[in-house]
Amino acid sequence: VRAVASSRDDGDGVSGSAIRLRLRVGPRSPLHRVLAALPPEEQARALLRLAEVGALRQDGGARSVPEGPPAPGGMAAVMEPAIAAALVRIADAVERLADSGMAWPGRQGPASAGDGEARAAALDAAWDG
Amino acid sequence: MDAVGVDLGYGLVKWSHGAACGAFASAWVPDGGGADGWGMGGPPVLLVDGAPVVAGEPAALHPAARRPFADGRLADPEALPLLASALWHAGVEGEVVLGSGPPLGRFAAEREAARAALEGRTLRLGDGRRERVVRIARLVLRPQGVGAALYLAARGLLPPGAGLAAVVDVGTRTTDVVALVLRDLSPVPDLCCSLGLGAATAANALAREVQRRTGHLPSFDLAMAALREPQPWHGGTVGGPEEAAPHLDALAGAIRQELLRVFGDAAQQVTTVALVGGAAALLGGRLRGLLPGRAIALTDREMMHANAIGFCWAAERTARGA
Repeated sequence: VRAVASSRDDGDGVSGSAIRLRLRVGPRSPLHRVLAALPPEEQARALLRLAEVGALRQDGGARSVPEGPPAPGGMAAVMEPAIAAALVRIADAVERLADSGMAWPGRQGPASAGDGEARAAALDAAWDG
Repeated sequence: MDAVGVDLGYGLVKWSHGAACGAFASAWVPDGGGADGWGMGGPPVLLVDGAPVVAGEPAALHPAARRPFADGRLADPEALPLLASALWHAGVEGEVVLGSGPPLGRFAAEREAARAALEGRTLRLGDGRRERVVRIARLVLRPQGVGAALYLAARGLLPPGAGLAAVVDVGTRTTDVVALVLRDLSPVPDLCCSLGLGAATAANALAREVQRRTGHLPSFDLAMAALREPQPWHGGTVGGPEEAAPHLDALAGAIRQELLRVFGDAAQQVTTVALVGGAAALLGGRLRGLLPGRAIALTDREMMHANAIGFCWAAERTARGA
């Protein structure tokens, strides 16, 4: 199974370029089950969030989710195992980036950041004054 | 003008500035806590307008630690050293726009007092080697929970759709709930609320049980830590996942019950749920299915810092003159 997602990257100085991401997931993988159950736009968003924080490993031309059990506790307790494992790696990547003083990935906008900013501004306006 | 966000939580103070963010324990000691340490050094001392204070984890272990736990903290001089420490850690200097906010339920009552206390205030901060003067030119106030909603929206995690989004911010002392119409992110005031429930509710219950069993009442810090891992206590251990489970179950049950009471039939309109706040990760799966709808997956760190980043975002917007 190959899932493909693309996005404009506004976070690392290559704004305007497109990222294409191929993810190979075995048909028996829990991640495959979870992805298959998601609508296409959610599937792309999930993959891009994994890619944004480097949770996907380069593996000969394609990227794949590394194997390994989820860490105990936290969100791992409430998620599908493979998604939980990926999220734990996101958390680890975020911790490493934050500890190294590099950019905080949470402040980087996803593909829809422009829309998101406008919607956030609309919400913020409700509390202005 | 620079902008900074500070979430003055009851358990942790979280700050966000530019791409950086951090957190420290909501505790401080005046006069450096006698930090000369008999020549052994000691924790870092911050000079706030010339007065030495120790804030954060080193202070939490001090017998004279001060933990401002009352309402109205943004205007309370007792909490000023925590705010000053956050500004110091954030590295800001000169004129700044400060984004912050009280719990949702206290927002209206505390807004004016916070403005009067902080807007236009100048703080002289130093560590003995360097000094920075910070002037809070503007105070941008948003309720807790709304800060997190701003973060989620700006990230594109609350896309337009049908129904309602519920942002549930589980903190140390309160749980703030912000309900938004997903179509345009307008708030639904009747469904927004502050519940007097948080990690402290479970920690206090655990502490009372430990006292019944051992005859000794553990400190708040120890009880909070014991919600996660066993802690040494009078020759044995207390706490840990198994011992804490009934208290966390009770807390999750109480939050669920209160939410369903507030939402009533409107619960069926909730199509997106985001759990944020430092205690949300602690409760983990216990809040699964709290309300119907798709759960937004966030890392523990995102959950903890969402409000501070949202406050910073609102402050940046004001600084830009938006």
